[in-house]
Amino acid sequence: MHNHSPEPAPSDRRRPGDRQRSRDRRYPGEREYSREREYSREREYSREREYSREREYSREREYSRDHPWYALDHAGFIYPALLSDRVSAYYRFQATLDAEVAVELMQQALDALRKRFPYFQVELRKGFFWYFFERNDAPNRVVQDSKFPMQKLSTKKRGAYLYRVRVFGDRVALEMCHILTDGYGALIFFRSLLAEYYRLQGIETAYGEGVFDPREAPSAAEWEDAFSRYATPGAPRPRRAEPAWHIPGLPLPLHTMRVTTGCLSLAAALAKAKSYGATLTVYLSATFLAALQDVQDADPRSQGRRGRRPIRLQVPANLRGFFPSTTLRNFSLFALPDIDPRLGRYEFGEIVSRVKSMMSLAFDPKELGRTITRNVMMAKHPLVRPIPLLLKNFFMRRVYKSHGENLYTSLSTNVGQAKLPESFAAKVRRIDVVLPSTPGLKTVAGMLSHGDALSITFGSVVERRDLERAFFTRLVKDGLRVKVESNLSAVSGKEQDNALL
Amino acid sequence: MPYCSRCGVEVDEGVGDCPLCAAPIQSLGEAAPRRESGPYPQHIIDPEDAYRLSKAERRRIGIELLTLAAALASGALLLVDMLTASSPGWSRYAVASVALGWIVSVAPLALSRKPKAALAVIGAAVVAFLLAIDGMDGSLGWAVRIGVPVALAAYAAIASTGVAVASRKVKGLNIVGIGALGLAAFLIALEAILRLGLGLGVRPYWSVVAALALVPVAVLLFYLHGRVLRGANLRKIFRL
Repeated sequence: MHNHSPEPAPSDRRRPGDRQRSRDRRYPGEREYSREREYSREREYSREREYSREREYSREREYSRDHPWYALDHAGFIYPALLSDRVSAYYRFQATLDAEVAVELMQQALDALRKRFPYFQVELRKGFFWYFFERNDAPNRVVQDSKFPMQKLSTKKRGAYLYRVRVFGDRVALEMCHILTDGYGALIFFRSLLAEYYRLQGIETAYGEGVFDPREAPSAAEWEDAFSRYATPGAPRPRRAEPAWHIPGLPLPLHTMRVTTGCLSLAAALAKAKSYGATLTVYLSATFLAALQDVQDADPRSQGRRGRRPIRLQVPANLRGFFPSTTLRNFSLFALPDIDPRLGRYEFGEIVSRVKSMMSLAFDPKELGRTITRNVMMAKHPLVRPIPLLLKNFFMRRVYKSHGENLYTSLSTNVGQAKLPESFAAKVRRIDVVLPSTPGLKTVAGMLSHGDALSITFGSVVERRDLERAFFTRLVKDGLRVKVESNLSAVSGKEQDNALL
Repeated sequence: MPYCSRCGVEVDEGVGDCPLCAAPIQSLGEAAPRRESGPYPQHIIDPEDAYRLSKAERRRIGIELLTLAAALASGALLLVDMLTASSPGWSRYAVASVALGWIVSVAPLALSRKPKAALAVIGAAVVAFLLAIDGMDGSLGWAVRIGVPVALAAYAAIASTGVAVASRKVKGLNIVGIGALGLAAFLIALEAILRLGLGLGVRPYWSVVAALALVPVAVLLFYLHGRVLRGANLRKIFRL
């Protein structure tokens, strides 16, 4: 990473409106691939003609292509305001390989891959009005894994990366900050990292299909803030739901979290979902809602209609399926299927059909346009932009509470299939996605499958495990075989010590 | 594969309790070797711990910031003074104070491994400061007669008390007694210096009164230490 051209002199720096000059500059880390670069620039020009609408609203892409700094996208900009010891905004992909990870090779693979993903080689910096990313040339070392993943992160520290690769035994993990990218982008990075790692061991993998060639030049479309492109000014705001019920529970000590993973057969789970006439995501989300209903039923404070509140689940989806884009930055939104227990207890079949309908209503490009537009327009509002960052952070925390966490009980994301290339798929036994929870949501879940292994991982910051238990026992009662493991084996803590049962 | 009879979920071989309900897992046949929770390490190592600044780095940053603050303050004082006068007047005194403050705060950081050297630098800086303040109007007066001798007497009292304290094996009430004797000696020296410097004659007065109060207290403390408390140390008496 030391082959960067020198920094341009201040007078040479491009101003926001100076578009012509920007085309002649390129990202400094990639000058050796000039020919490929030429082709990709040709492509860029034709692309750029398509993007006429985006230009009206956004200059971020212009910055990001060739500047040593670029702006956060319209989903990522909320996270820096929320960061604290208890809210990390990270998530993690972890692969269990069939042999001990060779750390040196993993480091070499990471070093080779880094310049293919220049948009991840950044540090988070504070501007006067907004946070921004600045290019980071520091080495990124593969680090040792810990009992409690995704803790003590130095996201805002100078020179610190917003992702890290961790190794323990036969397990390699990529911890990625949501400010940088969503699960789609992180999974491409992780897949490419594994491909490069196995290439160094002599197992060749064909590029393409979500595996990037480290020698290739990054395309400009990967930098894109796709939210700005698909915002339609004038679209009505999304309807705001009423506050949801939240899981009770005493917190675990600071800098700890419980990870509980359940493994089951993908084929069996798919067959079970099919028997309900649902997709796997709908089936698992419905099971999650049913488990939440069980927990609420058992909660003494939620007895009677007055004490109850709607149980709502956040189910994120990749927007690239609805709006064409190849961006590797955030581009996902969510549906909020819910049940209202004040209307009576829901049977599982009812929940499935409800979730199915609610998700197909929510994942409609026009409906999604409301939220995209709201998010983009809020950030571009002429009265919002000049608010100093300090005040903005305060308001963003409030907005996140009132328009975010407060509206849903928990979060369950189905990343889908890991789609590892054939060449090394058999060498990876399992892949999990781990989500750290927040004090508001307490317990959240992530699902990911590889081959026939479907892994459902709960991340929790509270002592009680009744939600995990309710979820997995529901699957077991449905006839599925589930194998469970956790990073915290012994059950102890204030809540357990005082428990009557 | 072993499973939890309460939850119905399977667990890895060798896991003792169910990860969901903590119920003990029944093992049939050969008991597998008990295993700590599977795929996660048992240690807690966070890369963040390695990013933390070392003590030397923190000291270096401290020195940098103190130096910058002292330089800015001195510059501002000189400039404000020069607004009304053609040459620095009152600001020289202020700048000298800032310089003393800088030496006193930076010396322990720069000489953190050599506390004696740091103390020597601070001591010398105080003497130099007194001489500089006095000499700014062109002639040396009170600093030579009173200021420097008082400072030296204070150093001598502190040093001899320190040596005496360090020589005691049991540090109990006798330490307080030694302190009282040191203070009495310093007060006598102080009055003597003041009287000589101001030309009031050598006969001491108030310092003798103070010494008369301090010496019996010290003697009583020595007695208590040696006979009544039998050499109990301060830590035991005050449960520090």
